[in-house]
Amino acid sequence: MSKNEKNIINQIKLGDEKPLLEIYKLHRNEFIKWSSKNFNANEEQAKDIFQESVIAFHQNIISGKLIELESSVKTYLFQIGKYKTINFLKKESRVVTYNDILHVIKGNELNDYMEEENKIYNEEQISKAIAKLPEDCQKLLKLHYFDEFDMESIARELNYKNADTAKSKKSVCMKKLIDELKKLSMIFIF
Amino acid sequence: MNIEEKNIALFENYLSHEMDKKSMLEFEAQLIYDSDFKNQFESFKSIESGIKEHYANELKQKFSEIDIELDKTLNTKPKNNKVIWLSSVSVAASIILGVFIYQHFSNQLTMPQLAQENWVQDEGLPVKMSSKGKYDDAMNAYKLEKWDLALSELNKIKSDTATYYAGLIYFDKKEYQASITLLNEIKLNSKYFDDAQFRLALLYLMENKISFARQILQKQVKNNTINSHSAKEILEKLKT
Repeated sequence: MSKNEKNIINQIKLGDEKPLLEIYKLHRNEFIKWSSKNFNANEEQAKDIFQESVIAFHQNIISGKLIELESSVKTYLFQIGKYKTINFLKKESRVVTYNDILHVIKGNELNDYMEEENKIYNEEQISKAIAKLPEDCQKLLKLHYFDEFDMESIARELNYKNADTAKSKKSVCMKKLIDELKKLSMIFIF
Repeated sequence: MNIEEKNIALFENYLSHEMDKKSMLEFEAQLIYDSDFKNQFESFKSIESGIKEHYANELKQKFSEIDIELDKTLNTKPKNNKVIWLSSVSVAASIILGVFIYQHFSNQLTMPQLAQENWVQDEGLPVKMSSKGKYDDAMNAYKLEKWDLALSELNKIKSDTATYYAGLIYFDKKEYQASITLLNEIKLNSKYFDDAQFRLALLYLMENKISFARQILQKQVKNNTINSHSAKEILEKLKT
């Protein structure tokens, strides 16, 4: 792994989005051409898949699954993109009757599907509630849930006294979020 | 769904694995016998996954802003124009030269075309993301297609990366033998090995060394490399 690529991983781990945007900009067009040539994916499909691939790249880094690249960033991303394209095109060709789903989707794939069906709040509802939160709560929730910072790192980043303070602050923010969802007539807190 | 305030910290502790064993067992037992508690827990998890999704979508929104800029530069049409142009040439050739002569010569014409069509332009290493790296000067020249300057910068560095990009530059300079020599130097344990091998196959097609190309392409398929789909397609075309 080159020094530059190590830097990219470290920067992303520290919650910096810039490398992701640069990577997206650098490889998107080639990915579109590549997935069109190899899988007949259309431009819109390829764009969506590549966005998902960069998000997965980010998730793998912050979750600690990806510590060191054994290939170039491009090769790694295209590899994710390849599997995502195959899955996407498989999904596209599925006949969506209930029985067929049970036959075709198995194991973890079935869990994913069921989770989607059981979703209690949609993204729009959550987004509206987050937007109503104070800025520090928004930052904290992003650092915890999206950048997967531990409480110590959150405390450092947001100048809290220590990890315990960050943890109790996080609980307060979650309560506020649930309260906002309640105000949006979606849930009620007793 | 009602989420009782007292349960929020409980759910957080359980999901972050901060409970002792006894509390955890009690928690899991309650999930089984208390359906209301279970529903509250499901709601809480739904909110957590919604938060993650929200921030992922925020990032996707930024990607979409880049899309607007990049869509101006993305041009997939030339390939179609090329196909149309080639078709026209083929038709004209068949009219003029007759079926036998056309088939005889089209085989020779097709190999370099097949190689060119599968040669994906590598956009080079990123140069803006951190402090100055050793490839930055070479990559800046490479991206500006200043081939000789890029080569002279790459020649100062001894690495697979430098060799790989120098190999690509010689292809762009149409110096195929030099490109073959350099890409052949990429070692098996290099991250560029698979890609270099695939490009070597294309270079052999450019040189009409079909059996060499076929051997490499078959390995790409067998090893299921990132180029295996393209390799398979080319092998199919080589059969005809």
